[in-house]
Amino acid sequence: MAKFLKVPILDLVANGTTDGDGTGTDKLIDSSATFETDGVQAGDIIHNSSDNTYTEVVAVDSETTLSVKAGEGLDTGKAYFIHSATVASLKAAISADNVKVVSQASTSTTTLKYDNGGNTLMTLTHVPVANELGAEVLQDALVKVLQLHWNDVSYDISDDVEVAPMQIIGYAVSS
Amino acid sequence: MQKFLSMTIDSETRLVSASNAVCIQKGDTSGANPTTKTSIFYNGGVNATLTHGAITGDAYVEFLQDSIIEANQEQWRKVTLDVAADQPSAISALTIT
Repeated sequence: MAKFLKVPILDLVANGTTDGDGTGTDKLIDSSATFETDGVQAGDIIHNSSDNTYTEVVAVDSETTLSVKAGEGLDTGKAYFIHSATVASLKAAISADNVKVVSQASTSTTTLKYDNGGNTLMTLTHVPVANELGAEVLQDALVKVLQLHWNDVSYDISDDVEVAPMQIIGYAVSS
Repeated sequence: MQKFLSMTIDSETRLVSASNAVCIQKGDTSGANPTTKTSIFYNGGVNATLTHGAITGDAYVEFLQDSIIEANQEQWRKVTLDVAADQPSAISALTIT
């Protein structure tokens, strides 16, 4: 009796590497970027993958410069990924069967380990949330989908208000 | 309760398991070739990678997700779900790792 969580994955709208120092001016600067053309908007999520930190777009200054939250400007040479804060074109179907343990591996990653005698591990990447909130939210969603009638195979967590703070930006599985 | 998707792969009808799938992702198992490969990751570490005509966006992931969910919604005697006509583009190969 297979069950799946449908998990909204916020769209990637731009990515690149900074080539200007925005630390003193609360900016993200990339002379190769086309932020306006790409549709970057205020409120979008910035993941600085070089340092594994997150900030938010406060304003789109130009094609190549963004204003970010105070004190969170990016230094030069930082790889970044900008995700929409609102648009999730893909709702990834994540198995809810045979989950052995859900744990929050870090403030920005929550993992589902499957019971298969091996090491199948699903990692959801999201904006930082309070300790164990990610695990609690996913555990609750797993319980909900497993309580559905057998031919209600999937449960869309998009409208689950408890999930909203997580803002999931990626998923990956390893074995 | 085993379920399969019936698909056309390299002009032949093949069955691809719709059971024990953990997730579907663009690209091969390492994420390479995201427009021409889509992978189904099964619980237990077995993966099926489909090589298909170029598709941008998430159309192939959504097609496989929807198909697997639909297959699992069928009553127990309906073991296969024929999705060949719905394939977003032709599949040329199936690789199991």
